[in-house]
Amino acid sequence: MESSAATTTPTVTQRDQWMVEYQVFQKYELFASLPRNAKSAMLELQRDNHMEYLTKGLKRLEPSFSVLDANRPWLCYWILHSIALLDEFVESELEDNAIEFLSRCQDPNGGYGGGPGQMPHLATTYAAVNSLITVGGEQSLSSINREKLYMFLRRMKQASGAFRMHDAGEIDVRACYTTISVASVLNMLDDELVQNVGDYILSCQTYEGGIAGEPGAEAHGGYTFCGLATMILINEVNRLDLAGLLDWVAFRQGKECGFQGRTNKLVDSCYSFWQGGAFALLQRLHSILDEQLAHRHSRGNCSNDSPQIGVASDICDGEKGGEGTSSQVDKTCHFMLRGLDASRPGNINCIGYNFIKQPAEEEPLFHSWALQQYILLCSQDLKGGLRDKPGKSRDYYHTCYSLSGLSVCQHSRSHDEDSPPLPSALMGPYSNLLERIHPLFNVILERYYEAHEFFAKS
Amino acid sequence: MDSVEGKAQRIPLRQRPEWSDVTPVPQDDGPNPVVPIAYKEDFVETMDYFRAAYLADERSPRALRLTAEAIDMNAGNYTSPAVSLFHSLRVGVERLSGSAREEMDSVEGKAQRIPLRQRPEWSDVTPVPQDDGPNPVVPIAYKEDFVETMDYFRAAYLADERSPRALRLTAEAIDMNAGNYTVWHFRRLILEALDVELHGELDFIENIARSNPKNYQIWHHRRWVAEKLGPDATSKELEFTKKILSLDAKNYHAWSHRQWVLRALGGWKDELDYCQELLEEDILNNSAWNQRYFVVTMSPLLGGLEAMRESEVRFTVEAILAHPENESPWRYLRGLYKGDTQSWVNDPQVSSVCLRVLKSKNNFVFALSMLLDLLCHGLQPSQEFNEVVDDLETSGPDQPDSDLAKTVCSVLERVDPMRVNYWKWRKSRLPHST
Ligand SMILES: [Zn+2]
Repeated sequence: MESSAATTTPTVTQRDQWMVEYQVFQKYELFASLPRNAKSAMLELQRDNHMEYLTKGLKRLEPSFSVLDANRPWLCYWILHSIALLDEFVESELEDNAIEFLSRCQDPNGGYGGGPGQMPHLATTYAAVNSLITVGGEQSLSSINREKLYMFLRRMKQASGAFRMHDAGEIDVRACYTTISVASVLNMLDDELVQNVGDYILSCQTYEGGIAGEPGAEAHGGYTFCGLATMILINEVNRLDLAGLLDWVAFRQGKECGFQGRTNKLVDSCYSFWQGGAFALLQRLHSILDEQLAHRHSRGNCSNDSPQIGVASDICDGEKGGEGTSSQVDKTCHFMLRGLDASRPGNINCIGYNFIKQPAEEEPLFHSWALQQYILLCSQDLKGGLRDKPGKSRDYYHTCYSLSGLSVCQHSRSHDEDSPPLPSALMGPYSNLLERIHPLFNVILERYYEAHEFFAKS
Repeated sequence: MDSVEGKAQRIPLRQRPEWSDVTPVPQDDGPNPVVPIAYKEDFVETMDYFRAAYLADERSPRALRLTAEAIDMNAGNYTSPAVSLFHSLRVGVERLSGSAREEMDSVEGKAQRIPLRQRPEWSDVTPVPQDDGPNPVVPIAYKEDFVETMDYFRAAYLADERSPRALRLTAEAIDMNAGNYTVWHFRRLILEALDVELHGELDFIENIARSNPKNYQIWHHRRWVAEKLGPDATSKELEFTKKILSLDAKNYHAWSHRQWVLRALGGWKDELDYCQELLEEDILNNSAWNQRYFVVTMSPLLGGLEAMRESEVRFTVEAILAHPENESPWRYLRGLYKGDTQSWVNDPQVSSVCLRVLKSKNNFVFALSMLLDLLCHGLQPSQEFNEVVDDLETSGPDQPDSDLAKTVCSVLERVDPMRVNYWKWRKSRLPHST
């Protein structure tokens, strides 16, 4: 039965995989052979160099970046969020410039485009809103035209429940996530936006357990994060087969120590966040997971056959849309997501807030130590910036999502948001410690709180 | 970013003294490979030397350099700084191979581009500069041609000029940045307004796609055109996606487009054979497995999952036994019983494939994982299962767990350390009475 792979011709998948393994293991072997002090130097996050690389990008980008000319709010987000993760500062003048620039990307009829004068687009809207939350402060947060933005989100809504990325644009799970994320953080999620979104996401969960971009497509790490986060934010996460999803995502961490995006694909540092972030979410969904497992056991049956308990429309008959909750926030932000008790009324916009206050399972279900090793040794460019994998060049996207994933690892064992992680949770020196993120939105947790409070009043 | 290993003046490996002692190992494609790839000579040579080094397990500095060159050439490798949202969404500045670049350059006369301001055709238009403000962040040091093209594009867009010259202008702008969805959107408005015959549009897209196979806008545009053309476009679309997939058999967008074509326009007849071909070529190609699932469940010609189950299980079991370390068929096998867990638990073919792999004592993680799921869903294990699992549990010498599911978890914790937390968690959540 065992055919030795070395004697038959390797397939494309094997060939690519072996090349990457070879490079990754070479890094690890080199590391293992080093004396102690050299080892710790290799594990150090090169903060100064990362900052230099990031700040440079805010000020000037080479002509080759013209292919990202329709993604400039993304560039803002990747860079500003990376800087915030490092807990470093941007000159206040640059922050003002960022607010000013993003205002020029804001469409008069709502939403943000990829650059000044471009059509509004959901992905760049998400990036712009997250950038402005990351900058924080009255001037930044009030620069978002919420009423118009809400109208834009509604224009993108389709009868199926899903969203289009832009006027006459493509429909997929990203569009659902970026809409729901933005609406939730700006305190304007309502029945109209939520309606049937859950059905669409559910139709994208594949036989493998992960979530695809569209019904029928292949389970994929990016879409799995987006779909899972969306279902949590609309309070319908119990409709997903969470045990199947967890099993799929658990198998995405491979012997290279990092995550791959799909079954039998190559390791890639950006999935440190997309897959690692899914674990951070699942870590707070144990009561629902247990409920699904109990259901499975009692029926001698499987959660594929979909128990369905609690639906969002029962809950959010309270406040709607922009007409917010003022200082009721603390009073209304109570029960949602506590187990399956979805029958009590509450404000759907508070789910993000309540979620992070949920007690998390003590241990993450992925290998945090291994993932940190991959990020620090394989994806870090010592000259600044992070990369997909050895042999690739650094870029701002992988810098942002590798650091986000690293933060998830470091904080994955602290039960209490106020107590910093123990040094034993961190690989490398304690100076590697990054700021904690809110895993549903991927913004710094403190900045999320500030925004949540700010928009609760507006 | 473009100077990795001096690719510009690549010296063939066979001419480098450093490699003179090595005999390259050619790829064993067989006499009649399915979907053969017309590899470039450099690619073939690099891979032949890589195979030689790999098979010899030569862990040397020169081998390291060689892996860098090989990775640099791999079709799935873009060196771009460019992405949007996820990795697979990268808009590439993929280096174009020589011949592709020549073809590209002849499109729209890029090679000898005449500035728009010198073209009589545009003399009546005042270009509109980008409103970046006095101190923009993430400012891009655009090339002059780029700025000029976009300035004229903005003028036409703001004037909503749906004319032939505006259509040509969108092509130039797309050629410079295929990720600009506003330009694509405006192009569609013009195509509609001018009622342009759309078959030519397919060729335009194909040219752009060659250098940007992973760009959302191209595929969205392609879907729009194909939808307008209707069933006439079916075979052309299936051919087009096949061509893209022959370069990268896991291109997510190409698969999505292909699924859309099948669903919206038809063309199911040969799809299962196509999946079969791709899997024969690369049994680890999970995208092909996913497509197979799509066909088996959705094709109007096949009768649905239940009708197909028996033959699919046979195929899948065979694939598992040939490569038990391949995760794809294991997940596929489980998928074949979706919505009918009881049949999955009771089908002797399922427990027997687990048992056979476990008995081999090699690459048995997926077999154990499936056994665990089966037990959680009520499988009553035979004595054989108890014996073979006890056999694998070498650590605890004398107190084998009376509970098979627990023992399975313990073995998994040991043999699959990457998922040790997951297996511990699974163990903690086992039903109390098995
Ligand atoms: Zn990536």
